[in-house]
Amino acid sequence: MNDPLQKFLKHHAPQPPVAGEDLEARILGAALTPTRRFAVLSGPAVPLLTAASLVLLLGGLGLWRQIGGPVVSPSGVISYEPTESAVFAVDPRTDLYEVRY
Amino acid sequence: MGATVTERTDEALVIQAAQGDSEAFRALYRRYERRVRGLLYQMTNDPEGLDDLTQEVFVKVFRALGRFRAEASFSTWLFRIAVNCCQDARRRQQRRPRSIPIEDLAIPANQEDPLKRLNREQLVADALQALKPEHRSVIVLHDLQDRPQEEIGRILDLPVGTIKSRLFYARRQLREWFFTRGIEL
Repeated sequence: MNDPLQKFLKHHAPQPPVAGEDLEARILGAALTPTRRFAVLSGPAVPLLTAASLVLLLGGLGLWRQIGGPVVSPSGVISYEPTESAVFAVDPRTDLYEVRY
Repeated sequence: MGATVTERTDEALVIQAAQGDSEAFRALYRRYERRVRGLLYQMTNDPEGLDDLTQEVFVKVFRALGRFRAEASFSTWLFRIAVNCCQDARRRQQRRPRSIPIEDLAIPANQEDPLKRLNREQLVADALQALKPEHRSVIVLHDLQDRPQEEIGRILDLPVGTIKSRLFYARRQLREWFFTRGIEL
């Protein structure tokens, strides 16, 4: 080590303050405590599982009906009772029935 | 009779610690605590945050022991994690900058030797902080922690040529920094 700069740096290297008394215990405690982790999936089934989970989630919440798309006018006659002259129509976006006599 | 914990090699301790042996953890911590704290302090110059940063490094290391593949030595791997933690700490620090009063940086004249030494340590600490982070890490690892250039290359994941060049520029800048303060090196 002939470089005077290196000598100077080495000789006057900043010395860290003494560690806190409980630091070792803190570190060992934290390192040895089991961490909670989410299960990690891997393999070719992952995209399929993701898609199925999404469908179930959205379907379960009924959100798929709110996903933006073309406005659909009420359609789909589900019942026609000529004797009572009643027509039931359902709006597929809101599930609301419209009754016409 | 088998070797005591303190006589075992790093590799043996790593295997035992990865299996949850707390004595092996403790032995690794005690073996490297001083050097890691030195590196962290010289890199960050933050005494208040040093214990937390030391904890961050060792907990990361201990939790990742199962993934250590011994492609590099344990100490190289440990130092790499320590340098990465310093970089994370610097980013956090940049988000909440602290101010240092200018009078705290002044160097009083005609002091006793121990104080003079402390002032020189502070001077070196300030000089290191004046460097770019990538230059500082090379200077600290090479000139203060005595790591060979090849190992620094592995720690920082850089070619040795880059380490040499950063060392060159960092030293030139340090010499200029000290020169402007009346110290010719």
